[in-house]
Amino acid sequence: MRQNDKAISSYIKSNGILTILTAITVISVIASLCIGTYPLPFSKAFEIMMHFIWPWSSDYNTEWTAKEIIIIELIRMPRVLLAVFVGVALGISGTALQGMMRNPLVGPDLVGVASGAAFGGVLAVMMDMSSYTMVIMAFGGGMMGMVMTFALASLSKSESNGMTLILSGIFVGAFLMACVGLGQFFANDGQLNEITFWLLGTLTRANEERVWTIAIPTLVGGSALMFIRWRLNILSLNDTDAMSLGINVRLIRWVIISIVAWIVASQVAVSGIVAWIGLVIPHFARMLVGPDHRSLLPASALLGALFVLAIDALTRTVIQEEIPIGVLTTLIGTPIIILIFWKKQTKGWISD
Amino acid sequence: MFSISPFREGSWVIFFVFMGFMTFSLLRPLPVIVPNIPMHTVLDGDNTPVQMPLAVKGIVGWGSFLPMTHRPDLLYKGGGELGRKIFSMYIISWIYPDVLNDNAVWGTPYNLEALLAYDDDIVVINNVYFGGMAFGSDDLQRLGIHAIETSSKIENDDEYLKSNVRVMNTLVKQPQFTHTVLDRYFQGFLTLEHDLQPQKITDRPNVIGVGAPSNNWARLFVIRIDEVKQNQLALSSPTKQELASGRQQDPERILSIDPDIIMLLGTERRDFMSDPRWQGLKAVQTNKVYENSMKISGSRYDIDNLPIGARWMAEITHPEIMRPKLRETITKYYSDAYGYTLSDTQLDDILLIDKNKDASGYKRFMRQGGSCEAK
Amino acid sequence: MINSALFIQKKTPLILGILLLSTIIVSLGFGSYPIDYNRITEIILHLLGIGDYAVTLKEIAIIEYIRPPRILVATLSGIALGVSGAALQGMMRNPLVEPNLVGVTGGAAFGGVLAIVIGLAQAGTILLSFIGGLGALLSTFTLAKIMNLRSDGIALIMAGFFVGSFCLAGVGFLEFYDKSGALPNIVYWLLGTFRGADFTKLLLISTTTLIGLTVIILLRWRINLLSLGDVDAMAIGIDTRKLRWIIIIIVTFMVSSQVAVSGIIGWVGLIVPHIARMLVGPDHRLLLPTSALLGGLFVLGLDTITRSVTQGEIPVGVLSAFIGTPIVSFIFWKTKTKGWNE
Repeated sequence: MRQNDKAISSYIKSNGILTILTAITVISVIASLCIGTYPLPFSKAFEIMMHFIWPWSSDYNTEWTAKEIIIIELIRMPRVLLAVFVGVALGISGTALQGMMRNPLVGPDLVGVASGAAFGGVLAVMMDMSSYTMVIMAFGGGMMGMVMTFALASLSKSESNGMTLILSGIFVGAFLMACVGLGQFFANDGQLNEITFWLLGTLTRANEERVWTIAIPTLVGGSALMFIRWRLNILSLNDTDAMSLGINVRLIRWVIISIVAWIVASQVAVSGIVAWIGLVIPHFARMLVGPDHRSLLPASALLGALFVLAIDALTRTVIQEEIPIGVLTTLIGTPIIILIFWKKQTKGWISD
Repeated sequence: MFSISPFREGSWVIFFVFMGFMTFSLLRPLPVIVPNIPMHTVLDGDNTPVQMPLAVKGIVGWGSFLPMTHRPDLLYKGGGELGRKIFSMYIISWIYPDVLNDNAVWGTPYNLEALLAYDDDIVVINNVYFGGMAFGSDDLQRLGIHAIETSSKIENDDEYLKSNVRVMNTLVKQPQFTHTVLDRYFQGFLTLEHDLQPQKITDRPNVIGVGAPSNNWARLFVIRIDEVKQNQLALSSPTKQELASGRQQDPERILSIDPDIIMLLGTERRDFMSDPRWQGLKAVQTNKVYENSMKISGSRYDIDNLPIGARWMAEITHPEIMRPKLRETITKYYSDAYGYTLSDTQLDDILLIDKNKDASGYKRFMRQGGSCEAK
Repeated sequence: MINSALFIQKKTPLILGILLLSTIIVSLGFGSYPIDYNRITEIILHLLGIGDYAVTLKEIAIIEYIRPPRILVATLSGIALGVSGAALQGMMRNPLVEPNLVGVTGGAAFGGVLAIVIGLAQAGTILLSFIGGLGALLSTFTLAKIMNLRSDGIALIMAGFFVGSFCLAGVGFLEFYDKSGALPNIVYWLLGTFRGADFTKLLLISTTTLIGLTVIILLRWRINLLSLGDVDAMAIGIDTRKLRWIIIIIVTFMVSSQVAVSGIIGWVGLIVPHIARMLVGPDHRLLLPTSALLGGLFVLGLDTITRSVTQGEIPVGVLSAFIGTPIVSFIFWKTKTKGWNE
């Protein structure tokens, strides 16, 4: 009986937290749209926003000036959407990878996707391509990075138990970053500026194309990951147990990694390398809802969105500069992760 | 095993649907922006007609606006503290000290919304940079911010300057000033050509620009000065086949090129001359190393200083042909253009007399009958 | 048959040493400024005061001030990286460990860049590099220990990757924060280059490398014993904890000064010990000197190539990545995963 009580109370607890989290996130999204540098009162911003979202609205209220409408529709909406999607993409990817690899130090750059995307983007800047083409190049680069990692891992004669994959991901990533460095070396001053800031991760260039580029993989891929998330629970046992439960471990691994690569490639393509979110958010979410992936994955998605929204709101209102978001996530994420690891010192992670 | 809980599924499904819904809103057509102040058409750098406010209240972006239009009252925002620092390196900051000291001018908008908060009759020239990313006039026009591109990818330096001057002056409704500025600019080169007689020159010395910020020789870079078209009057370019300009270089390359004259950019002459690596260079042995500054040659598109910088180089490279006329030229130019008289001390500062006094032939740039003596 | 093979193996360090010295001398002839070997001989003799040859100041500048520091700094960097890689691999019993992968180079770079941004003098830069490197390495170990009860194996590399990317992110932040135009400065640092070598840097790196090399060579027998496993080693009487600490500090010492002098050069500490192992086997008494000399040859060779062949002077760190990747792929192909976790 006591065990049941405990199970039930944790069940309620995690569900309760999830509900609250969803509510908070939705409210935050709406609130982010109403704040900004331009002097626009909240109520007016809210009205304009509602009018914009609702597909069946009537004509524009003449009280609103053109500038105010532009602020909401062209500046804030793409930006907030981009922020949310970046957070969701990285949160889900990080959690999925950590669960699959049974390793808490794994990040979305596991299979060299982020480095590949960075390389594609750098190549595009060096060749003076338009912003839109750069996104495509970065995406292509990311997928190429993944293919390279798989190729390297498949060279190894040992059974692919994930370790090989991680290692090849690290090496491929290092190689691609060396190529990025080479590009930086040959760039002239204007290009170097753009490359460097893009590599640090930025939401400044939010526009419709970019939002669509990241929205589709994140929503579609994210949903796919959500559908199979209970299998992640099973994957966290070791391989033999999982297979005895009827899960095709190799296939699931491939699927998860491919989806994650797709999502991360699109994320890096639109906003550069945003560090730490994929590493910190899963831990944080785990502290809130426990290690059950059925609650953990949604929680990470929501927390990721919240985190990036909060940082972005900070940049847009309080801080007097457009600081690249990767810088801020590093600054804020590092103490958090130190704290988390400190607390976890007593608990082992990987069973020996 | 499955235990689908409405809370768990609901949390993410609701959220994803919500986000999808918001994303679809981006597909809605945007409002047409009707300007509410009188506008007129200006041809921008590509000769494309653009609608600009008739009465421009201010310009964002210092760039070369001041030298090309002489309208300090119209400079609204000139870029942040870094912009102010760069501004103070030019002679024009002496001429318009109010601009230099006005804090309002050097507070820059830090994101798009702040830019949008300015009045409608503020115009942005060329690009603004937020967080390292450049936003051009296309991006800004789309957001209803008036922005104009004063010249696009024009290769020829002269055409670039002409286009800039024309667009800026048309924008602030003084089109006739275009001719004044351009005439003065071309006159400077005509006079130089007349004095130099370049077609008669047979012996052209090999000149390159060298610099190593903070004496960190790992960052040694070389500039081919003759790449700037305006300098080609006076300089030769046998270095063409060997050197990529502006790139970081190996010290050995400079030794193998062994130029006749070296212009230093960003390095102190003292440090360069005393470094053991460069002792073998004939430029060092003949003292033909000269420290350059922003006040002499300006930047690549500095309409005031390009003729002056070219003249400086011509007097250094061909001292036998050119009479020492640089000080008078500079004084006369600034007096004609801005009504500003440069004192002797200021001229010494501009020409870096103190740093270059040991260089070969630099005596010609000093005050006549002054106390500075060269070796 | 076996005797002669063993004989050659034992003499490998000697052979390599001679090879290295000759390469150093030969490298004197490479560079953008063309000087042929006869001329070089004349110049050297002139500098030594023997004979009476007419030499120009330029040639003196090159042979005395420009090329030797660069050549020697490259060689010493290679030696430092080679021997550090071998020592780390021996200590960790893990063939995929190298100074770059455990975060030392990232930490040293972070410290060095921080020093530049604050505006410290040369000595301060070196000190901060060392502190940064040490801090990073310790963080890696701590992290690996938390995540896994053993402090070797995959967890170490992952922790190193984690710490390394944190340090590089920190460098990125400093890049952004310092707007005084030092951007290209830091980029070159991150890629590894020997272009700015002068006598001060040479002095620094030779001191640290020679000290570190001596210490590690003296410990080479004990590092052999480490591979037996902690329990057995302690039974023989080796204080494994102290030994590990000494190795850590010495490696950090050498690698931080290398990074302070010439930037991040990865991959060398990984592949050189492997090649050395293929030549002389796993006995550290031979392996350590061989790795050192091979490392010196490798980096010197890379630098000579980049100095003379490529016009644009590709940074050494990039070249080592390009060469290292196929070699690592080869290692992947040959090794089995199981062997790493023992």
